[in-house]
Amino acid sequence: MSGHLDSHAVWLLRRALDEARSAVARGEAGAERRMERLQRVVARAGDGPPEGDTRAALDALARGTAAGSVLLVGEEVRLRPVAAALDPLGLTPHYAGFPGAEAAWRRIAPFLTVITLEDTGGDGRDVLVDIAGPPLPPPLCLIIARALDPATRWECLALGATRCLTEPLDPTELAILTASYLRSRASPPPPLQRPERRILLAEDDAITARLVVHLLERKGFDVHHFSDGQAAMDAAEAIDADLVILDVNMPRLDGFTALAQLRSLHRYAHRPIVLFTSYDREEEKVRAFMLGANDYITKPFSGGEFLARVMRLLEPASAR
Amino acid sequence: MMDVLTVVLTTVNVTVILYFVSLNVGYLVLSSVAFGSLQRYVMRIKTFDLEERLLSTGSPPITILAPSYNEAKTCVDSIRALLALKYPTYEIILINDGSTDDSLSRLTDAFSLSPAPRLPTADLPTAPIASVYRSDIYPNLWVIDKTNGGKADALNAGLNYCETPLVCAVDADSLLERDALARIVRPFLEDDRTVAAGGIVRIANGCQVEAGIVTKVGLPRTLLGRLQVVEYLRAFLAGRMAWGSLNATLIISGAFGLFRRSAVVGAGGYATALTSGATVGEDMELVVRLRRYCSEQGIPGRVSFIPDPVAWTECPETIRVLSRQRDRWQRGLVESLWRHRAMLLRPRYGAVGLVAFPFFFFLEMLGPAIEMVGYVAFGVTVVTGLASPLFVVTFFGVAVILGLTLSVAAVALEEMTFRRYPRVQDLFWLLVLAIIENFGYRQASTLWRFRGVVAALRRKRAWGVMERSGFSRPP
Amino acid sequence: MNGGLLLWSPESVLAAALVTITFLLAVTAGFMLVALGLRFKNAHRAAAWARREAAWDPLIVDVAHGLRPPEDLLALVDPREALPFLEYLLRYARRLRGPELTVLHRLAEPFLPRLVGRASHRAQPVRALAVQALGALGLPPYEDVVIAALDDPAPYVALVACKALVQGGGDRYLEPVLARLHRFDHLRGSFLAAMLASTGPGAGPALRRALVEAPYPVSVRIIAARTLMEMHDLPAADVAADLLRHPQDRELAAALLRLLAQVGRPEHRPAARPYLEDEDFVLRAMACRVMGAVGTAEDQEVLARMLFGDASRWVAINAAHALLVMGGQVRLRALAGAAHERASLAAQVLAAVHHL
Repeated sequence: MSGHLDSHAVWLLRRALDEARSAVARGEAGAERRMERLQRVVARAGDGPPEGDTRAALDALARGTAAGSVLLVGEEVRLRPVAAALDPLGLTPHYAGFPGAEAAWRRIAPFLTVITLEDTGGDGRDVLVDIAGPPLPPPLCLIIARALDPATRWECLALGATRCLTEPLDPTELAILTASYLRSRASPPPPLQRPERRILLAEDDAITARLVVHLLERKGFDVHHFSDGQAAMDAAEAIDADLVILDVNMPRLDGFTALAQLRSLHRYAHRPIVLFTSYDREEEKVRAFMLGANDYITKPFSGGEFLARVMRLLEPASAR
Repeated sequence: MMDVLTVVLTTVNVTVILYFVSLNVGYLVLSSVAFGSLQRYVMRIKTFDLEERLLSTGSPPITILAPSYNEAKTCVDSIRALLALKYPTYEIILINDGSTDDSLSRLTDAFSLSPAPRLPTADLPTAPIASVYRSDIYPNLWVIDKTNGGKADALNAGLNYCETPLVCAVDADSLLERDALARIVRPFLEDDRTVAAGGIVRIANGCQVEAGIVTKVGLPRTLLGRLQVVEYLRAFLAGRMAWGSLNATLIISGAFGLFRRSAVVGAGGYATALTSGATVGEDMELVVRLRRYCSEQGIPGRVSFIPDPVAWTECPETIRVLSRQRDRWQRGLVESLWRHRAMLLRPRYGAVGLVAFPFFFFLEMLGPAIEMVGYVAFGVTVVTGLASPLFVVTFFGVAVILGLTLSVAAVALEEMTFRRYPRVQDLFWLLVLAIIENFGYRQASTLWRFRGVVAALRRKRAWGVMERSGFSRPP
Repeated sequence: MNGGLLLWSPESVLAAALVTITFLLAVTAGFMLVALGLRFKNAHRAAAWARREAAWDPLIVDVAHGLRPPEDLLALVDPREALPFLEYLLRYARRLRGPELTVLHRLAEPFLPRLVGRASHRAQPVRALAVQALGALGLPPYEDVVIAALDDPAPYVALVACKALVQGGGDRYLEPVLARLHRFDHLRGSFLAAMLASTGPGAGPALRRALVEAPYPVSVRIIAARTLMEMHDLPAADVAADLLRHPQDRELAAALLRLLAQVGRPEHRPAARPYLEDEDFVLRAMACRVMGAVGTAEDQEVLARMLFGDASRWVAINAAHALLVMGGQVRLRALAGAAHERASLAAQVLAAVHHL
């Protein structure tokens, strides 16, 4: 066992392996297969962190940015009630069969995955191994089975499932369970519907706007850009941005006035707002802070510094 | 008897010929000077970083003076447009010149005006001030309410409350481009001796205007409007640009001009009945007087004309209104030049006294009169058989063609530099208009201006009545 | 049949007229062709630019941010497009600094030698553009060219060189710039000060030296004082106070007092106090400002008296502001209610507080 596993996962694995060994000794059907799966997970635990897409998907998952989707693996007919149960929580359902499950999981990076244990297409536990096993941080994963014996239950848990549920499902219990997972996640709002972090940018110089938009979009932000202060103000409520960047010298409504107006809105009273300008005058900086800006970036700007300041203000939102 | 007539006619005809020759040669020279000057200028503004200018702490604060009389329908929009300018520090003072409509209440509602104390910085005599208001929403917007006194008087009232080193006078219906202030301030940054700067005035008829900003440029719909477009191009690009490069500018449009406050106040402010005597063309009179004041005080006052800051304005599109406008402009010209005739041909006043003033005095001011006399004289000459009609016709032919050359040259200048009319068909139209202009429009213009000269000569008696109607200004 | 009316025979007049008309028509036609030609040339040029922007735009931001190697973009630049490419890079160079700017420098490198020749072109605008580009994209390798441009006969080119050195190189080039600053006497002072201040705080020592040392003409020392004020340079206060203890040029004294008003400390008060009674109203006004920053309770008395009693309105306004700044609102309010013609001035200054 390697240091990639936390103690709980280790304990689970040990228990599952014990049970599997006894099952092999008893000559139970499928016991070998069970052993093999568990050994694969153990072997992988020693391989070190994986590269490429899986990492990105899991990073995204870990940051809670994929809060909006649920991946349902197995027969669609059977999983529809599950999707219906989770619908009030605003999770978008995606369906996949066993063969395409791993690829779908990487692509969607869902908040929650629900896998049927046994089906005509294959075995849910194989899928589980592919996506949920240690050393990768466990995503939320529910196993749904028609019947679960203790050994299978342990196995599933060891393989990384969060919970095992038997059918028929109680939709309320399912919803409550999922909601509690959502609450317990360390990420604060943005709300469910929105995976990306939104930034409202009010900047009238086209070239600067391009540079900034590109910089931020590359980091995965959803940037809404306006060329004048008034248009930005009009749209601010609707956009509900997580961070606002205002250029001071804009037509129709300058940055300071926009700042004051934003701070008077309930929604933006405590959201981070940055002023983006080349005023070097101290009284302007003081004015910005007095009006409630969180920070002040001067032009000409360097990308690295700009990003650092922006990310710092969004820091509490990203799960570390 | 015939000999006397012959001598008289000969003299008159020779004078007229001389006039035509000097006028057109003069314009040709101006056009060539403008050509060189514009070329250099266009290259020069490539190094001008507008963004930087806007954000530099070195940009001086400006006060915009907007006199307003009975502009209830448009005043709120005009102010909103002025508030949208891109410039680091500026104030707007709207002077409500005793409007009889509900302008003030509209402004109060729209901008949340409330009375605020403000101490005058100068004491030019004006009609009494009722009160001073400030906007609660836009701290840089002030409104002065006063009893009616005319546009010049309103401007003087605004000057009295101006606290910034530079002051910008605009018309109620001027639409300034967003970067106009940033551009027009450049001469003041580059040369501390600058006392005044003017920009181009363009015709807004036919353009799409949204919230006080010209979004699409187009030619006016009427022929009269289009002819004026070419005329303005000639006046500004060829005319004023050339005078500007010679530091001999005599006119800055009341629609858009930037001045050094101390110089204007020192020279006595705008001319009203209470200051140096009312005049119809107070914007031109101010510039002439400013130059005189600077020369006499030994101040090296530079007056610049730069073509990149733009103000858009409406032009009349009916003959009735247009003729009255030109009549009035000519009157203003006559009054301004006559009042300061001491500057004529005096080296003390530099290029202004020696070149610009005589040009305007003899060719622009007396020009229409000379032309009219010329037409009559030539008519008589033909009738009395002292010359063949052919001669007269060829003479006028040359004059017209010469005018045509100048108009087309102006269009070429526009094409060289600013190309504000993006559609190719507009360019063709402009070229065609440049030709048409000389067959009727110019002659009509001369007639209207002649009436203005006559009126100016007559007006000495009828003075004292201040102009209370609208504020449309010459460019 | 013209008698002695005309000096020439009708035929020659007609001939002359026809010749003139033909000539003029030819010239007119020429202008028309010029206009149309320019339109096409400009349309062509605009199309060329559109092409370039379409090709370069997608890459420039990625390259600037280090996501793609500069070679990717350079591969799309034809050697004949050197000057347009440099112009294109300038747009971004004006807005960036740090690592992104360094990348832009690398992109410009192969093409900069082209500009060296243009920096000595006989046409002033060409020189100005070349110097500007070299200053924005070519420091320090081409610093010699830009520094040499400081001595260009055309003041405008020298100014462009100044700005480029100050913004691109920081305080490294401050000395040569200061040495030639007297060429720009006719420029607006605050504009020059703002330009110099953009070098950053490292300029402090050089500027303080310029303030003290005689070789620099007064006008330059005044600019130095203004710049130090813009920069809020604290050590400059001591220098200013020392200088003010001795009689100085009027404008320099005013600039020094302004500086003290910005960065002065209580120990500098004695140096400024005598100027409250100076015969020059500008110096009195500036001294009021200093008192506003570092004055004591007894100075409030003096200021109140100056508000009502000083001959100059300008001084009175500054006295009122100073009272406000040093916490004398109560007194100011009392003055605003007094029966004096200057009471409204006090009221105005008080009212200004409410609008930040």
